[in-house]
Amino acid sequence: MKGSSGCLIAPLGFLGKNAPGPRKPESQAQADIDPRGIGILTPSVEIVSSPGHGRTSLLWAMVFMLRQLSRVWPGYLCWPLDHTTGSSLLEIHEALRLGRLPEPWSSSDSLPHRFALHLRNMNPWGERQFVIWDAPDLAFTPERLGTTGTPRQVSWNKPFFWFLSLSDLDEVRARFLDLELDELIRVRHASGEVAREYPLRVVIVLTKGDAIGDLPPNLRCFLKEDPLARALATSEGGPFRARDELELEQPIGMNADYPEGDPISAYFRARNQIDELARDWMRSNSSGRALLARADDMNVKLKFSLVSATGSGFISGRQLATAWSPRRVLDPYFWALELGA
Amino acid sequence: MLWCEEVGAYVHWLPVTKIQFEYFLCAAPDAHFDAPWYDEILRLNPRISPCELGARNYWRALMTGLRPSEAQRFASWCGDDYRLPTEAEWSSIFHAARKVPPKNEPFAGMCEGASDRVQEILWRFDEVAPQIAQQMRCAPSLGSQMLLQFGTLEWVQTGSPPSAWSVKGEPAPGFCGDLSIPGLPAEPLIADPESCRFAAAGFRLIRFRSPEISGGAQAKNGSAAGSRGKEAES
Repeated sequence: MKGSSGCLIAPLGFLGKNAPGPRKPESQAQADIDPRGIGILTPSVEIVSSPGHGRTSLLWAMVFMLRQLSRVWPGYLCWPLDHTTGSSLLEIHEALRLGRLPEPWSSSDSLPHRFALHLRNMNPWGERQFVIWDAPDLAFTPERLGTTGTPRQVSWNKPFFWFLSLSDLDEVRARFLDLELDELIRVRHASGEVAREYPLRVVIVLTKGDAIGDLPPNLRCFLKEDPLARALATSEGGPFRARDELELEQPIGMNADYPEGDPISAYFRARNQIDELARDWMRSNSSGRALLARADDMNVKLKFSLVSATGSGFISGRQLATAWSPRRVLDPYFWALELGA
Repeated sequence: MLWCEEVGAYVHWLPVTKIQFEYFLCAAPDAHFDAPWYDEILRLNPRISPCELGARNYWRALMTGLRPSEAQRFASWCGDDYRLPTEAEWSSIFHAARKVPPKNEPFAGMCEGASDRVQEILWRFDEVAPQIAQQMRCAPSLGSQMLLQFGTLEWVQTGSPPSAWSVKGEPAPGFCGDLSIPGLPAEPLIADPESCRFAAAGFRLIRFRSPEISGGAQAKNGSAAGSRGKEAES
Protein backbone atom coordinates (compact mmCIF):
# COMPACT_ATOMS: atom_id res chain seq x y z
CA MET A 1 0.00 0.00 0.00
CA LYS A 2 2.76 2.44 0.74
CA GLY A 3 5.76 3.42 -1.25
CA SER A 4 9.17 3.76 0.29
CA SER A 5 8.65 7.47 0.75
CA GLY A 6 5.71 6.81 2.97
CA CYS A 7 3.24 8.00 0.35
CA LEU A 8 0.14 5.97 0.37
CA ILE A 9 -1.21 4.81 -2.97
CA ALA A 10 -4.93 4.73 -2.53
CA PRO A 11 -6.52 1.54 -3.83
CA LEU A 12 -9.58 1.71 -6.00
CA GLY A 13 -12.99 1.10 -4.58
CA PHE A 14 -12.97 3.68 -1.83
CA LEU A 15 -15.95 5.52 -3.13
CA GLY A 16 -18.36 3.05 -1.72
CA LYS A 17 -21.98 3.31 -0.92
CA ASN A 18 -21.60 4.89 2.48
CA ALA A 19 -19.15 7.60 1.60
CA PRO A 20 -17.53 8.98 3.59
CA GLY A 21 -18.11 6.56 6.38
CA PRO A 22 -14.90 6.08 8.28
CA ARG A 23 -16.60 4.20 11.05
CA LYS A 24 -14.93 0.83 11.27
CA PRO A 25 -14.15 -0.35 14.78
CA GLU A 26 -10.52 0.04 15.55
CA SER A 27 -8.87 -0.35 18.89
CA GLN A 28 -7.04 2.59 20.34
CA ALA A 29 -3.80 0.70 20.62
CA GLN A 30 -3.79 -0.23 16.95
CA ALA A 31 -4.98 3.16 15.79
CA ASP A 32 -2.21 5.12 17.45
CA ILE A 33 0.60 3.18 15.85
CA ASP A 34 2.29 5.00 13.02
CA PRO A 35 1.87 2.71 10.03
CA ARG A 36 5.38 3.56 8.93
CA GLY A 37 6.63 1.94 12.09
CA ILE A 38 8.45 4.97 13.40
CA GLY A 39 6.54 5.60 16.55
CA ILE A 40 3.19 6.53 17.89
CA LEU A 41 0.86 8.99 16.19
CA THR A 42 -0.24 11.20 19.01
CA PRO A 43 -2.84 13.86 18.29
CA SER A 44 -1.37 17.20 17.36
CA VAL A 45 -4.51 18.95 18.57
CA GLU A 46 -7.42 17.83 20.73
CA ILE A 47 -11.01 18.86 20.12
CA VAL A 48 -13.89 19.66 22.41
CA SER A 49 -17.29 20.36 20.98
CA SER A 50 -20.89 20.15 22.02
CA PRO A 51 -23.11 17.93 19.88
CA GLY A 52 -24.32 19.60 16.72
CA HIS A 53 -21.68 22.28 16.67
CA GLY A 54 -20.20 21.11 13.40
CA ARG A 55 -17.25 18.99 14.49
CA THR A 56 -17.26 16.40 11.72
CA SER A 57 -18.13 18.91 8.99
CA LEU A 58 -15.29 21.15 10.02
CA LEU A 59 -12.81 18.30 10.17
CA TRP A 60 -13.85 17.21 6.69
CA ALA A 61 -13.38 20.75 5.44
CA MET A 62 -10.00 21.04 7.17
CA VAL A 63 -8.69 17.81 5.72
CA PHE A 64 -9.97 18.80 2.29
CA MET A 65 -8.32 22.21 2.43
CA LEU A 66 -5.05 20.86 3.80
CA ARG A 67 -4.91 18.73 0.70
CA GLN A 68 -6.00 21.55 -1.62
CA LEU A 69 -3.41 23.88 -0.17
CA SER A 70 -0.80 22.36 -2.44
CA ARG A 71 -2.48 24.16 -5.32
CA VAL A 72 -1.72 27.59 -3.94
CA TRP A 73 1.32 27.08 -1.74
CA PRO A 74 4.52 26.48 -3.71
CA GLY A 75 6.47 23.50 -2.40
CA TYR A 76 3.84 22.43 0.10
CA LEU A 77 2.95 18.75 0.16
CA CYS A 78 0.34 16.77 2.01
CA TRP A 79 -0.14 13.02 2.14
CA PRO A 80 -1.99 10.56 4.37
CA LEU A 81 -0.15 8.67 7.05
CA ASP A 82 -2.42 5.68 7.08
CA HIS A 83 -4.77 3.75 4.91
CA THR A 84 -7.87 4.99 6.69
CA THR A 85 -6.98 8.62 6.13
CA GLY A 86 -6.16 7.84 2.50
CA SER A 87 -9.63 6.42 2.08
CA SER A 88 -11.16 9.32 3.92
CA LEU A 89 -9.44 11.87 1.70
CA LEU A 90 -11.05 10.43 -1.39
CA GLU A 91 -14.40 9.97 0.24
CA ILE A 92 -14.43 13.46 1.71
CA HIS A 93 -13.48 15.00 -1.62
CA GLU A 94 -16.39 13.21 -3.23
CA ALA A 95 -18.82 14.11 -0.47
CA LEU A 96 -17.88 17.77 -0.67
CA ARG A 97 -18.14 17.80 -4.44
CA LEU A 98 -21.61 16.29 -4.25
CA GLY A 99 -22.73 18.54 -1.42
CA ARG A 100 -23.32 15.73 1.05
CA LEU A 101 -23.29 16.47 4.76
CA PRO A 102 -21.98 14.04 7.36
CA GLU A 103 -24.45 11.87 9.16
CA PRO A 104 -25.14 13.03 12.69
CA TRP A 105 -23.45 11.05 15.42
CA SER A 106 -25.50 7.99 16.29
CA SER A 107 -24.88 5.66 19.15
CA SER A 108 -25.21 2.58 16.99
CA ASP A 109 -23.09 3.38 13.93
CA SER A 110 -20.61 6.03 14.89
CA LEU A 111 -17.12 5.37 16.14
CA PRO A 112 -14.18 7.68 16.69
CA HIS A 113 -12.21 8.35 13.58
CA ARG A 114 -8.66 9.58 13.20
CA PHE A 115 -7.24 11.74 10.43
CA ALA A 116 -3.48 11.54 10.07
CA LEU A 117 -1.68 13.65 7.46
CA HIS A 118 1.92 14.50 6.88
CA LEU A 119 2.51 18.11 5.86
CA ARG A 120 5.79 19.24 4.34
CA ASN A 121 7.30 22.62 3.42
CA MET A 122 4.77 24.51 5.42
CA ASN A 123 6.74 27.60 6.20
CA PRO A 124 7.38 28.89 8.82
CA TRP A 125 6.53 25.63 10.58
CA GLY A 126 8.28 23.33 8.14
CA GLU A 127 7.28 19.70 8.44
CA ARG A 128 4.41 18.64 10.69
CA GLN A 129 1.97 15.85 11.28
CA PHE A 130 -1.70 16.67 11.41
CA VAL A 131 -3.19 14.00 13.65
CA ILE A 132 -6.64 14.64 14.97
CA TRP A 133 -9.54 12.59 16.28
CA ASP A 134 -13.16 13.05 15.37
CA ALA A 135 -14.55 11.66 18.59
CA PRO A 136 -16.72 12.60 21.56
CA ASP A 137 -14.89 14.35 24.37
CA LEU A 138 -14.97 14.18 28.11
CA ALA A 139 -15.79 17.82 28.60
CA PHE A 140 -18.82 18.50 26.40
CA THR A 141 -20.04 15.11 25.17
CA PRO A 142 -19.32 12.65 27.98
CA GLU A 143 -22.67 10.95 27.43
CA ARG A 144 -21.44 9.75 24.05
CA LEU A 145 -18.26 8.17 25.30
CA GLY A 146 -20.08 5.02 26.21
CA THR A 147 -20.86 4.43 22.55
CA THR A 148 -17.31 4.50 21.32
CA GLY A 149 -15.79 1.38 22.76
CA THR A 150 -12.54 1.95 24.62
CA PRO A 151 -12.23 5.64 25.44
CA ARG A 152 -9.13 7.02 23.87
CA GLN A 153 -6.42 8.72 25.82
CA VAL A 154 -6.64 12.50 25.59
CA SER A 155 -3.39 14.46 25.32
CA TRP A 156 -4.18 17.17 27.80
CA ASN A 157 -0.99 19.08 27.13
CA LYS A 158 -1.78 19.63 23.48
CA PRO A 159 -3.57 22.71 22.20
CA PHE A 160 -7.34 22.37 22.07
CA PHE A 161 -9.89 23.34 19.48
CA TRP A 162 -13.13 24.37 21.07
CA PHE A 163 -15.74 24.19 18.33
CA LEU A 164 -18.48 26.59 19.28
CA SER A 165 -21.51 27.32 17.15
CA LEU A 166 -23.03 30.51 18.53
CA SER A 167 -26.12 30.09 16.39
CA ASP A 168 -26.80 26.73 18.05
CA LEU A 169 -26.56 27.96 21.62
CA ASP A 170 -29.78 28.57 23.44
CA GLU A 171 -30.32 31.82 25.31
CA VAL A 172 -29.09 30.44 28.61
CA ARG A 173 -25.98 28.65 27.44
CA ALA A 174 -24.97 31.64 25.37
CA ARG A 175 -24.80 33.64 28.60
CA PHE A 176 -22.57 31.15 30.37
CA LEU A 177 -19.66 30.56 28.03
CA ASP A 178 -17.21 31.06 30.88
CA LEU A 179 -18.75 28.07 32.66
CA GLU A 180 -18.06 25.93 29.61
CA LEU A 181 -14.43 26.95 29.76
CA ASP A 182 -14.47 26.12 33.46
CA GLU A 183 -15.77 22.68 32.62
CA LEU A 184 -12.91 22.09 30.18
CA ILE A 185 -10.41 23.20 32.83
CA ARG A 186 -12.06 21.00 35.43
CA VAL A 187 -11.97 17.92 33.24
CA ARG A 188 -8.37 18.58 32.39
CA HIS A 189 -7.47 18.77 36.06
CA ALA A 190 -9.53 15.71 36.84
CA SER A 191 -7.73 13.71 34.16
CA GLY A 192 -4.90 13.06 36.53
CA GLU A 193 -2.43 13.91 33.84
CA VAL A 194 -0.92 16.61 35.94
CA ALA A 195 2.14 17.16 33.82
CA ARG A 196 0.67 20.39 32.54
CA GLU A 197 3.94 21.78 31.42
CA TYR A 198 1.97 24.22 29.37
CA PRO A 199 -0.95 26.39 30.25
CA LEU A 200 -4.16 25.32 28.61
CA ARG A 201 -4.05 26.60 25.05
CA VAL A 202 -7.41 26.89 23.34
CA VAL A 203 -8.40 27.99 19.89
CA ILE A 204 -12.04 28.99 20.10
CA VAL A 205 -13.39 28.12 16.71
CA LEU A 206 -16.63 29.92 15.99
CA THR A 207 -18.24 27.41 13.66
CA LYS A 208 -21.10 27.92 11.19
CA GLY A 209 -19.99 31.53 10.79
CA ASP A 210 -22.30 31.95 7.80
CA ALA A 211 -25.31 31.47 10.09
CA ILE A 212 -24.37 33.86 12.90
CA GLY A 213 -27.11 36.45 12.69
CA ASP A 214 -25.42 39.33 14.47
CA LEU A 215 -21.92 38.77 13.18
CA PRO A 216 -20.23 42.12 12.55
CA PRO A 217 -20.06 42.88 8.82
CA ASN A 218 -16.27 43.14 8.81
CA LEU A 219 -15.97 39.61 10.18
CA ARG A 220 -18.53 38.35 7.71
CA CYS A 221 -16.47 39.94 4.94
CA PHE A 222 -13.48 37.84 5.95
CA LEU A 223 -15.55 34.73 5.46
CA LYS A 224 -16.94 35.88 2.15
CA GLU A 225 -13.58 36.90 0.80
CA ASP A 226 -11.39 34.06 1.97
CA PRO A 227 -8.40 34.28 -0.41
CA LEU A 228 -7.88 30.52 -0.46
CA ALA A 229 -11.50 29.80 -1.27
CA ARG A 230 -11.36 32.46 -3.94
CA ALA A 231 -8.14 31.15 -5.44
CA LEU A 232 -9.56 27.66 -5.67
CA ALA A 233 -12.95 28.79 -6.91
CA THR A 234 -11.54 30.96 -9.67
CA SER A 235 -9.25 28.25 -10.94
CA GLU A 236 -10.38 26.40 -13.99
CA GLY A 237 -13.04 23.94 -12.95
CA GLY A 238 -13.13 25.19 -9.38
CA PRO A 239 -11.86 23.30 -6.37
CA PHE A 240 -13.19 19.94 -7.49
CA ARG A 241 -11.61 19.54 -10.89
CA ALA A 242 -9.88 16.31 -11.71
CA ARG A 243 -6.11 15.94 -11.55
CA ASP A 244 -5.68 18.80 -9.10
CA GLU A 245 -2.63 17.35 -7.48
CA LEU A 246 -0.79 16.78 -10.75
CA GLU A 247 -0.29 20.46 -11.38
CA LEU A 248 1.95 21.45 -8.54
CA GLU A 249 4.47 23.13 -10.77
CA GLN A 250 1.90 25.76 -11.65
CA PRO A 251 0.24 26.83 -8.43
CA ILE A 252 -2.98 28.56 -9.15
CA GLY A 253 -3.85 31.94 -7.81
CA MET A 254 -0.32 33.27 -7.71
CA ASN A 255 -0.92 35.57 -10.64
CA ALA A 256 -4.52 36.30 -9.92
CA ASP A 257 -5.68 39.73 -9.07
CA TYR A 258 -5.04 39.84 -5.34
CA PRO A 259 -4.74 43.42 -4.17
CA GLU A 260 -2.84 42.36 -1.08
CA GLY A 261 -0.42 39.94 -2.66
CA ASP A 262 -0.55 36.19 -3.03
CA PRO A 263 -3.41 34.28 -1.41
CA ILE A 264 -1.27 32.65 1.28
CA SER A 265 0.09 35.97 2.57
CA ALA A 266 -3.36 37.50 2.40
CA TYR A 267 -4.74 34.50 4.25
CA PHE A 268 -2.33 34.81 7.17
CA ARG A 269 -2.85 38.55 7.48
CA ALA A 270 -6.59 38.04 7.66
CA ARG A 271 -6.22 35.27 10.25
CA ASN A 272 -4.55 37.70 12.67
CA GLN A 273 -7.16 40.36 12.04
CA ILE A 274 -9.99 37.89 12.60
CA ASP A 275 -8.54 36.92 15.96
CA GLU A 276 -8.43 40.55 17.05
CA LEU A 277 -11.85 41.44 15.68
CA ALA A 278 -13.48 38.35 17.12
CA ARG A 279 -11.91 39.12 20.49
CA ASP A 280 -13.27 42.67 20.32
CA TRP A 281 -16.66 41.35 19.32
CA MET A 282 -16.69 38.89 22.23
CA ARG A 283 -15.68 41.69 24.54
CA SER A 284 -18.70 43.69 23.44
CA ASN A 285 -21.12 41.45 25.35
CA SER A 286 -21.21 40.30 28.92
CA SER A 287 -20.90 36.61 28.19
CA GLY A 288 -17.83 37.12 26.01
CA ARG A 289 -16.28 39.43 28.57
CA ALA A 290 -16.79 36.82 31.28
CA LEU A 291 -15.17 34.19 29.08
CA LEU A 292 -12.14 36.35 28.35
CA ALA A 293 -11.79 37.34 31.99
CA ARG A 294 -12.01 33.74 33.14
CA ALA A 295 -9.42 32.64 30.59
CA ASP A 296 -7.12 35.39 31.76
CA ASP A 297 -7.70 34.45 35.37
CA MET A 298 -6.88 30.79 34.72
CA ASN A 299 -3.88 31.59 32.55
CA VAL A 300 -5.53 30.06 29.48
CA LYS A 301 -4.09 31.16 26.17
CA LEU A 302 -6.94 31.92 23.80
CA LYS A 303 -7.04 32.46 20.07
CA PHE A 304 -10.16 33.04 18.06
CA SER A 305 -11.06 31.92 14.60
CA LEU A 306 -14.22 32.13 12.59
CA VAL A 307 -15.03 29.45 10.06
CA SER A 308 -17.70 28.10 7.80
CA ALA A 309 -17.14 24.49 6.79
CA THR A 310 -19.74 24.38 4.04
CA GLY A 311 -20.02 28.06 3.07
CA SER A 312 -23.76 27.72 2.94
CA GLY A 313 -26.71 26.40 4.86
CA PHE A 314 -28.84 26.09 1.74
CA ILE A 315 -29.79 22.49 2.32
CA SER A 316 -32.49 19.95 1.82
CA GLY A 317 -32.19 17.25 4.45
CA ARG A 318 -28.50 16.34 4.47
CA GLN A 319 -27.91 17.59 0.95
CA LEU A 320 -26.40 20.97 0.15
CA ALA A 321 -27.71 22.62 -2.98
CA THR A 322 -24.18 23.40 -4.15
CA ALA A 323 -20.74 21.94 -3.58
CA TRP A 324 -19.06 22.82 -0.30
CA SER A 325 -17.15 26.06 -0.20
CA PRO A 326 -15.12 25.96 3.03
CA ARG A 327 -14.11 29.34 4.43
CA ARG A 328 -11.20 30.07 6.77
CA VAL A 329 -11.17 26.47 7.96
CA LEU A 330 -7.38 26.27 8.24
CA ASP A 331 -7.10 29.19 10.66
CA PRO A 332 -7.61 27.00 13.73
CA TYR A 333 -4.82 24.66 12.71
CA PHE A 334 -2.40 27.47 11.94
CA TRP A 335 -3.17 28.99 15.33
CA ALA A 336 -2.60 25.61 16.94
CA LEU A 337 0.81 25.44 15.29
CA GLU A 338 1.67 28.81 16.76
CA LEU A 339 0.50 27.55 20.14
CA GLY A 340 2.92 24.66 19.91
CA ALA A 341 1.01 21.86 18.21
CA MET B 1 -44.57 45.92 -8.23
CA LEU B 2 -41.89 48.39 -9.01
CA TRP B 3 -40.69 49.46 -12.41
CA CYS B 4 -37.07 48.60 -13.07
CA GLU B 5 -35.62 50.41 -16.04
CA GLU B 6 -32.60 48.11 -16.20
CA VAL B 7 -34.69 45.10 -17.15
CA GLY B 8 -37.61 47.00 -18.65
CA ALA B 9 -40.10 45.24 -16.43
CA TYR B 10 -42.04 45.50 -13.22
CA VAL B 11 -40.51 43.64 -10.30
CA HIS B 12 -42.09 42.39 -7.12
CA TRP B 13 -41.33 44.74 -4.26
CA LEU B 14 -40.66 41.73 -1.98
CA PRO B 15 -40.27 38.01 -2.46
CA VAL B 16 -43.72 36.45 -2.66
CA THR B 17 -45.27 36.22 0.79
CA LYS B 18 -47.28 33.38 2.24
CA ILE B 19 -50.34 35.58 2.31
CA GLN B 20 -50.06 36.22 -1.42
CA PHE B 21 -49.60 32.55 -2.07
CA GLU B 22 -52.60 31.67 0.06
CA TYR B 23 -54.81 33.62 -2.35
CA PHE B 24 -53.52 31.30 -5.04
CA LEU B 25 -54.11 28.24 -2.85
CA CYS B 26 -57.69 29.29 -2.22
CA ALA B 27 -58.43 30.11 -5.82
CA ALA B 28 -56.43 27.68 -7.88
CA PRO B 29 -58.25 24.47 -8.66
CA ASP B 30 -55.11 22.39 -8.53
CA ALA B 31 -55.02 19.17 -6.55
CA HIS B 32 -51.26 19.35 -6.26
CA PHE B 33 -51.48 22.25 -3.83
CA ASP B 34 -53.59 20.54 -1.21
CA ALA B 35 -53.53 20.88 2.56
CA PRO B 36 -50.83 18.23 3.15
CA TRP B 37 -48.67 19.99 0.58
CA TYR B 38 -48.98 23.29 2.41
CA ASP B 39 -48.36 21.59 5.75
CA GLU B 40 -45.09 20.27 4.38
CA ILE B 41 -44.13 23.74 3.21
CA LEU B 42 -44.95 25.26 6.58
CA ARG B 43 -42.85 22.70 8.38
CA LEU B 44 -39.83 24.00 6.47
CA ASN B 45 -40.47 27.65 7.29
CA PRO B 46 -43.33 28.13 9.74
CA ARG B 47 -45.83 30.88 9.10
CA ILE B 48 -46.28 34.03 11.10
CA SER B 49 -49.08 36.54 10.89
CA PRO B 50 -48.35 40.18 10.05
CA CYS B 51 -48.75 41.29 13.66
CA GLU B 52 -46.00 38.89 14.74
CA LEU B 53 -43.56 40.04 12.09
CA GLY B 54 -40.30 41.43 13.44
CA ALA B 55 -36.67 41.87 12.50
CA ARG B 56 -35.75 38.43 13.80
CA ASN B 57 -38.46 36.36 12.14
CA TYR B 58 -39.64 38.24 9.07
CA TRP B 59 -38.55 35.47 6.69
CA ARG B 60 -41.34 33.35 8.07
CA ALA B 61 -43.80 35.59 6.31
CA LEU B 62 -42.17 34.79 2.97
CA MET B 63 -43.19 31.88 0.81
CA THR B 64 -40.26 29.49 0.65
CA GLY B 65 -39.68 25.82 0.13
CA LEU B 66 -41.31 25.74 -3.29
CA ARG B 67 -39.83 23.93 -6.21
CA PRO B 68 -39.26 26.07 -9.29
CA SER B 69 -42.09 24.41 -11.19
CA GLU B 70 -44.48 25.25 -8.36
CA ALA B 71 -43.36 28.86 -8.39
CA GLN B 72 -43.95 28.89 -12.13
CA ARG B 73 -47.51 27.68 -11.63
CA PHE B 74 -48.10 30.57 -9.30
CA ALA B 75 -46.66 32.91 -11.93
CA SER B 76 -48.95 31.47 -14.61
CA TRP B 77 -51.93 31.95 -12.35
CA CYS B 78 -50.95 35.60 -11.87
CA GLY B 79 -51.10 36.09 -15.63
CA ASP B 80 -49.43 35.23 -18.90
CA ASP B 81 -46.97 38.08 -18.63
CA TYR B 82 -45.64 37.10 -15.20
CA ARG B 83 -42.58 34.93 -14.80
CA LEU B 84 -39.56 34.27 -12.64
CA PRO B 85 -36.53 36.37 -13.54
CA THR B 86 -33.45 35.06 -15.24
CA GLU B 87 -30.16 35.24 -13.40
CA ALA B 88 -29.10 38.21 -15.54
CA GLU B 89 -32.35 40.04 -14.83
CA TRP B 90 -32.12 39.40 -11.11
CA SER B 91 -28.52 40.63 -11.06
CA SER B 92 -29.47 43.79 -12.95
CA ILE B 93 -32.26 44.50 -10.50
CA PHE B 94 -29.93 43.86 -7.58
CA HIS B 95 -27.16 46.12 -8.86
CA ALA B 96 -29.61 48.89 -9.66
CA ALA B 97 -31.48 48.69 -6.37
CA ARG B 98 -28.46 48.62 -4.10
CA LYS B 99 -27.30 51.98 -5.49
CA VAL B 100 -30.59 53.66 -4.70
CA PRO B 101 -31.40 54.98 -1.23
CA PRO B 102 -34.40 53.45 0.48
CA LYS B 103 -37.82 54.83 -0.24
CA ASN B 104 -39.14 57.05 2.48
CA GLU B 105 -42.69 56.67 1.30
CA PRO B 106 -44.19 53.42 2.62
CA PHE B 107 -44.62 51.00 -0.24
CA ALA B 108 -47.84 49.76 1.25
CA GLY B 109 -49.29 53.21 0.66
CA MET B 110 -48.70 52.87 -3.07
CA CYS B 111 -50.60 49.62 -3.44
CA GLU B 112 -54.09 50.93 -3.69
CA GLY B 113 -55.51 47.78 -5.19
CA ALA B 114 -54.00 45.27 -2.81
CA SER B 115 -56.16 43.38 -0.36
CA ASP B 116 -56.27 44.34 3.30
CA ARG B 117 -54.18 41.34 4.30
CA VAL B 118 -51.49 42.16 1.78
CA GLN B 119 -51.59 45.84 2.75
CA GLU B 120 -51.12 44.84 6.36
CA ILE B 121 -48.06 42.74 5.71
CA LEU B 122 -46.57 45.39 3.44
CA TRP B 123 -47.01 47.94 6.23
CA ARG B 124 -45.27 45.62 8.63
CA PHE B 125 -42.38 45.11 6.25
CA ASP B 126 -42.15 48.87 5.77
CA GLU B 127 -41.83 49.25 9.52
CA VAL B 128 -39.34 46.46 9.97
CA ALA B 129 -37.04 47.27 7.02
CA PRO B 130 -34.97 49.89 8.90
CA GLN B 131 -34.58 47.50 11.82
CA ILE B 132 -33.34 44.79 9.48
CA ALA B 133 -30.71 47.13 8.03
CA GLN B 134 -29.71 48.16 11.52
CA GLN B 135 -29.50 44.57 12.69
CA MET B 136 -27.34 43.65 9.70
CA ARG B 137 -25.32 46.82 10.28
CA CYS B 138 -25.52 47.81 6.65
CA ALA B 139 -26.37 51.08 5.01
CA PRO B 140 -30.04 50.89 4.04
CA SER B 141 -30.73 50.84 0.32
CA LEU B 142 -33.62 50.08 -1.94
CA GLY B 143 -32.04 46.63 -2.36
CA SER B 144 -32.22 45.83 1.33
CA GLN B 145 -35.68 47.36 1.55
CA MET B 146 -36.82 45.03 -1.24
CA LEU B 147 -35.13 42.11 0.57
CA LEU B 148 -32.85 41.46 -2.36
CA GLN B 149 -30.42 41.36 0.56
CA PHE B 150 -31.27 39.66 3.84
CA GLY B 151 -34.39 38.05 2.44
CA THR B 152 -34.38 34.57 0.96
CA LEU B 153 -32.43 32.88 -1.76
CA GLU B 154 -34.56 33.34 -4.87
CA TRP B 155 -35.11 31.00 -7.76
CA VAL B 156 -33.77 32.32 -11.05
CA GLN B 157 -33.61 30.79 -14.49
CA THR B 158 -30.17 30.19 -15.94
CA GLY B 159 -28.79 29.38 -19.36
CA SER B 160 -29.52 30.87 -22.70
CA PRO B 161 -32.27 30.18 -23.49
CA PRO B 162 -33.20 29.59 -19.85
CA SER B 163 -33.07 25.88 -19.25
CA ALA B 164 -31.99 25.37 -15.66
CA TRP B 165 -32.48 26.79 -12.21
CA SER B 166 -30.27 28.39 -9.67
CA VAL B 167 -30.64 30.78 -6.77
CA LYS B 168 -29.57 34.36 -6.19
CA GLY B 169 -29.67 36.57 -3.17
CA GLU B 170 -28.22 36.98 0.25
CA PRO B 171 -30.55 35.44 2.80
CA ALA B 172 -30.84 36.63 6.38
CA PRO B 173 -28.13 34.68 8.25
CA GLY B 174 -30.62 33.76 10.94
CA PHE B 175 -32.71 32.07 8.28
CA CYS B 176 -30.07 30.50 6.10
CA GLY B 177 -26.34 31.06 6.31
CA ASP B 178 -24.88 31.65 2.90
CA LEU B 179 -21.62 33.25 1.90
CA SER B 180 -22.11 33.48 -1.83
CA ILE B 181 -21.80 36.99 -3.21
CA PRO B 182 -24.96 38.13 -5.00
CA GLY B 183 -22.95 40.11 -7.55
CA LEU B 184 -21.08 37.03 -8.76
CA PRO B 185 -22.44 34.31 -11.04
CA ALA B 186 -24.66 31.81 -9.27
CA GLU B 187 -23.08 28.55 -8.17
CA PRO B 188 -24.32 25.60 -10.21
CA LEU B 189 -26.80 23.49 -8.31
CA ILE B 190 -25.85 19.92 -7.59
CA ALA B 191 -29.12 18.91 -6.06
CA ASP B 192 -32.11 18.52 -8.36
CA PRO B 193 -34.40 21.45 -7.50
CA GLU B 194 -37.44 19.47 -8.59
CA SER B 195 -36.79 16.55 -6.29
CA CYS B 196 -35.52 18.42 -3.22
CA ARG B 197 -37.23 21.10 -1.20
CA PHE B 198 -35.05 23.90 0.10
CA ALA B 199 -36.42 25.74 3.08
CA ALA B 200 -34.60 28.94 2.14
CA ALA B 201 -35.68 29.08 -1.51
CA GLY B 202 -38.21 31.81 -2.21
CA PHE B 203 -38.98 33.73 -5.37
CA ARG B 204 -40.29 36.94 -6.81
CA LEU B 205 -41.89 37.61 -10.16
CA ILE B 206 -41.32 40.12 -12.89
CA ARG B 207 -43.85 41.39 -15.37
CA PHE B 208 -43.24 42.78 -18.78
CA ARG B 209 -46.57 44.57 -19.20
CA SER B 210 -47.97 47.55 -17.39
CA PRO B 211 -50.07 46.43 -14.40
CA GLU B 212 -52.67 49.08 -15.28
CA ILE B 213 -53.59 47.19 -18.42
CA SER B 214 -55.10 44.27 -16.60
CA GLY B 215 -56.62 44.29 -13.19
CA GLY B 216 -57.26 40.56 -13.26
CA ALA B 217 -54.10 39.49 -11.55
CA GLN B 218 -54.59 42.14 -8.94
CA ALA B 219 -57.97 40.81 -8.09
CA LYS B 220 -56.77 37.25 -8.17
CA ASN B 221 -53.72 37.36 -6.01
CA GLY B 222 -54.72 40.40 -4.03
CA SER B 223 -51.13 41.37 -3.99
CA ALA B 224 -48.47 43.83 -4.76
CA ALA B 225 -48.06 41.86 -7.95
CA GLY B 226 -51.21 43.47 -9.19
CA SER B 227 -50.76 46.85 -7.63
CA ARG B 228 -50.34 50.07 -9.47
CA GLY B 229 -46.86 50.36 -10.82
CA LYS B 230 -44.51 53.09 -9.70
CA GLU B 231 -41.38 54.21 -11.42
CA ALA B 232 -38.37 53.34 -9.32
CA GLU B 233 -35.56 55.82 -9.17
CA SER B 234 -33.27 53.15 -10.48
